[in-house]
Amino acid sequence: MSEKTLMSRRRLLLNSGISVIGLSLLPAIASPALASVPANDALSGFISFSRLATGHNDLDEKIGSQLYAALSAKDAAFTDNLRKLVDMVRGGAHADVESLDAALTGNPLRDTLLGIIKAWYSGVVEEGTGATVYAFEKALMYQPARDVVVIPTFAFNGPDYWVAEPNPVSQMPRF
Amino acid sequence: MANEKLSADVVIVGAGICGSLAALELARAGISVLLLDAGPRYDRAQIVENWRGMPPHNKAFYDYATPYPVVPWAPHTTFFPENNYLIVKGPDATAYKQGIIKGVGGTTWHWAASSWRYLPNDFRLKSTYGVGRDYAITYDDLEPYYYAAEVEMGVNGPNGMDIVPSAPRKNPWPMDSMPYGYGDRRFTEIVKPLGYDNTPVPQGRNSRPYDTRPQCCGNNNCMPICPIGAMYHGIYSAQKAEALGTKIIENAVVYSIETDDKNRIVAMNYYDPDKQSHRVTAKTFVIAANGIETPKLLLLAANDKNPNGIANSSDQVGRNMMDHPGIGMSFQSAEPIWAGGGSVQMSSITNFRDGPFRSEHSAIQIGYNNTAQNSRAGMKALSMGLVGKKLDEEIRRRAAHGVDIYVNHETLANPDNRLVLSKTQKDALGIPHPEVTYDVGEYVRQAAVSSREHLMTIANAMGGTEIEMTPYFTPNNHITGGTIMGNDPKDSVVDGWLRAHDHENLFLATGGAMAAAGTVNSTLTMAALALRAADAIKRDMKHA
Ligand SMILES: Cc1cc2nc3c(=O)[nH]c(=O)nc-3n(C[C@H](O)[C@H](O)[C@H](O)COP(=O)(O)OP(=O)(O)OC[C@H]3O[C@@H](n4cnc5c(N)ncnc54)[C@H](O)[C@@H]3O)c2cc1C
Ligand code: SF4
Repeated sequence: MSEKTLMSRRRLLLNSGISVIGLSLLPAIASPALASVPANDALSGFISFSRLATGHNDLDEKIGSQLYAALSAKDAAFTDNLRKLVDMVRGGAHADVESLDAALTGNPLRDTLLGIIKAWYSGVVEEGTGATVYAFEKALMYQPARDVVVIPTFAFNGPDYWVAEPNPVSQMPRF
Repeated sequence: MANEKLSADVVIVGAGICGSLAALELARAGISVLLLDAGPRYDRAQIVENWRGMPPHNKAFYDYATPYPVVPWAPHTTFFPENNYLIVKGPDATAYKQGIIKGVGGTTWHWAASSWRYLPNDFRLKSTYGVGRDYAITYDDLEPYYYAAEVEMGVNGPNGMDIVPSAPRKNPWPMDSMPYGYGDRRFTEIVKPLGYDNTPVPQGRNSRPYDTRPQCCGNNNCMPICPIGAMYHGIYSAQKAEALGTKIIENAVVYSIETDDKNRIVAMNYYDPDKQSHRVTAKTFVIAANGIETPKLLLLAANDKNPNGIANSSDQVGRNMMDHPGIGMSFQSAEPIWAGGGSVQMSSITNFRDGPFRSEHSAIQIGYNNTAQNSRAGMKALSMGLVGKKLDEEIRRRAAHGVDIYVNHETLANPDNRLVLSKTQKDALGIPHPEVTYDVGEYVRQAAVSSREHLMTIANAMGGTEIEMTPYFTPNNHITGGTIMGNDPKDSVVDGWLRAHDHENLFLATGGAMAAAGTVNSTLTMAALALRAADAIKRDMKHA
């Protein structure tokens, strides 16, 4: 098999969640500061912050663990920045991401916030064509139009479902 | 392998739609067939997973090749990133960056299955309009083969609708059209008062269960892979031929051709992935290696008796390379359109497929692209730095309002649009890459002026904003002309049966035979021509 096939196999394993590479790498790539914190706490901190950052509660934790590992691996300052963001929202200081975002105007931490949002929405952490995909069907960017526009390869009904009148654009599905 | 007898009545090079349909037709007549393909066998489920595992950037910008892993012994074109397998040069190089897939089943693994017949005038462009070239056959000669191809592939079409112009039919389409989704419905209504008739595209996909394959259920992923096989691909005919005794050898890259003193083909030789050479013999040979690889192989296989390449006494092999140069436009419409209901290509505007204007400039096809906009909507909204509700609303808005339309142009055969063997680049087996020089020509450039106006008219009628139009011509993968058909062996490569003028027992069954590009997707015509070639071979065998 060519290298490329092997690579895509590996990517597939990651994507389908069969592999726990994402998780098992976690201690190795965590920053010294984080190393003192049990990995699970750091992860659940990331997931609960992600709920506020994305505005969506129903986040897949397996995907979350992979995103967390990937974001930490990509940026050495990520775990520190995340901790600062978590501190900012502690005790309900910001009810929603809109309020947090407004408070971050001009603050470099905003990049970390947008990076976390982008990861959950797009399912990737890197730019471009070589990026590892951590989520497709569950990537959040496919959900806002999910009631009308099929997530390609995931037909949501039998033949001819598409003749139905679409819902209004203003009617955001719950997700 | 070494002990196997590599011989058959007919050897076919290339297990794409043309080679597989020919193999099936011959196998049904009890003729033994050896079908060689340069690439591997693909597993549908694996390709679907490869696609799902592809970054959203690739999905948003229509990367159809990456799910099909490239093997070093049979490279095909990929553009994310561009692997430069196909070298393109000339003023319109961008317009010849063609998609091809190597592997059993061929390029129709990731086609859109728009399956049109050409119009009678497409076959006699020169005699009707004084431009381009005529085919060596008429529409009527091909009509029965068009129907045979439609039945074998399973083509649905607008039975009972009166569409002008249309190719005359003796039989209805095997299946009725699938119903439009909201996008095609609204698009049709909006362009109607502007004088555009937007009509159903005949599609090689099941609008009802057909030939043991399921009905299309709107995964909207025809390019690059239909997850359920509701769309026809060449692989189905290859598998049927195999069940009837055809022997398929994958990863077999044909590179040389032996001829005798009558210039009949005696044998072909192929490399396996380890570059071991194998010799195959037959009574008759067919090369069905697509419009790029067929002329490439003929040039590569030059021998002492055919120093300019096999079948090339006319010097026309690799010349007259054609396609349908396109102009693409995307915008946000004022009202929601909701692209993505049903298959990726459901309808198109065909008013300009024929008319006296063709003596001056190209006929065109204008189309609405029904590919779901969600990948693109998501990536764009994310790039805007939005968060929370605004982010979700922006994604939904763009998924609903995003529109892609295009114009495809007819090109004329021009011998200077030429494929040669690269002098500098070789693949892992040491075989030169193909190199094409391409200029769409004045005929197209003149039409393009009004094409851009058509697109603007439609965008304006839809209240378009963020209008973007490609400033260059885009490729459309309808690779035609490189082994052109004609009655005169001095200026053409094959006759009306796709038989090489120079070699009595060699047929070149690809779009390369097509003498004029027409306006519509070309593959059904290639398939019909391949079936017609198979008929000639059957007749030869009977008389032998
Ligand atoms: C994205 C995309 C969408 C398309 N959509 C449409 C559409 O909607 N409608 C339409 O009409 N057309 C469409 N096309 C075009 C269509 O796919 C081609 O016209 C068609 O596949 C050509 O068939 P073929 O059998 O000639 O060649 P292919 O399908 O390319 O098959 C040729 C086979 O030959 C093999 N081969 C090559 N060289 C050698 C060698 N030296 N030895 C052995 N084997 C060899 C290759 O491995 C390959 O499998 C589309 C193309 C693309 C890329
Ligand atoms: S729309 Fe979907 S199910 Fe239908 S043919 Fe295309 S990919 Fe297959």
